[in-house]
Amino acid sequence: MFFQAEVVITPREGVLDTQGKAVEKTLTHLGYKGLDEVRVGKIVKMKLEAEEEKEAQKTIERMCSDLLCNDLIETFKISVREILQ
Amino acid sequence: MKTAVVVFPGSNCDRDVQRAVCESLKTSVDMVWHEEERFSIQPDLVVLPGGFSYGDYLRSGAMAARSPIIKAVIEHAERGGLVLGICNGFQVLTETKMLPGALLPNTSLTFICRRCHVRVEQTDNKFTYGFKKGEILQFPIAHHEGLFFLPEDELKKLEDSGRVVFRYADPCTGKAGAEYAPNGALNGIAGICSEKGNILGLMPHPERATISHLNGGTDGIRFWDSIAKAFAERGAF
Repeated sequence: MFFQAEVVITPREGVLDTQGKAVEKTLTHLGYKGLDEVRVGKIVKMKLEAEEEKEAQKTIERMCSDLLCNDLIETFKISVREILQ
Repeated sequence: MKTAVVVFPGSNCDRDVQRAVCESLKTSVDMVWHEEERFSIQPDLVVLPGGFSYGDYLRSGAMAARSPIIKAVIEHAERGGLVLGICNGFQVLTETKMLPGALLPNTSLTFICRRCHVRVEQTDNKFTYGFKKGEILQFPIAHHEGLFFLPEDELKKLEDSGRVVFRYADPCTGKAGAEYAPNGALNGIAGICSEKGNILGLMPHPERATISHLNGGTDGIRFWDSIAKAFAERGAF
């Protein structure tokens, strides 16, 4: 089975996100009011083959701890859906 | 003292380190490509140089920290061998977890390239053995991700264990701390060492303060001498 996965990586709470702060400041300059805690992260998209969705999920979790995410400063969320190859 | 410099794709201070060490310590330096799995000659000192390994993709130092040679670097450190990470090399050391913390983007969000001053905070390690505590050194910095970060409780542990080796400082007053950090580093931390004192990571570049006509000063010469002195008198292993 083939899966399309998306990993959303964001800075952990309490970790200074200078990029988020800069974006927040600029949005405020543009007139957007009531903004608070803008955080900038990244998305990693991938296609992968696995026996089932659970296996795909577990493989990506391992990828996150091995490389994609630094757990000291980042957190991640994974979404997986089956696709036709 | 046998020295090896690891070269990653995107390293750009590898030859500066090679020349600085060669000229200061009158010793040959092995350049080791990151795809090697072991050192051909067992070094005493391994240097992870500055630069933009893998174009700083994903996180600075993240991909380099998973290079084949890193296993040999970790084994070398576990045996008590010296490992020095400068700038991007420091980022690699935190990504391998050989040193605690992470280097985040500077608060200014700009790349900062200029001279700066650091205060020697401790000399009970294999790198600043030849200095006096409280001495001020001038080393240049050149980085975009130099804000040293650790969660509060871990930062306190690091400070309490006396592992902060260099702190950004004012050369006139000799004061050091966060207010003198050009990059927003917590507690003004510019360099830290491992528990055993055989691994050092720092953001400033001693190799750019070694050859006088480069205008970065010459405090780097004393830094390399200090490592050689510690090695000669105390041994690395």
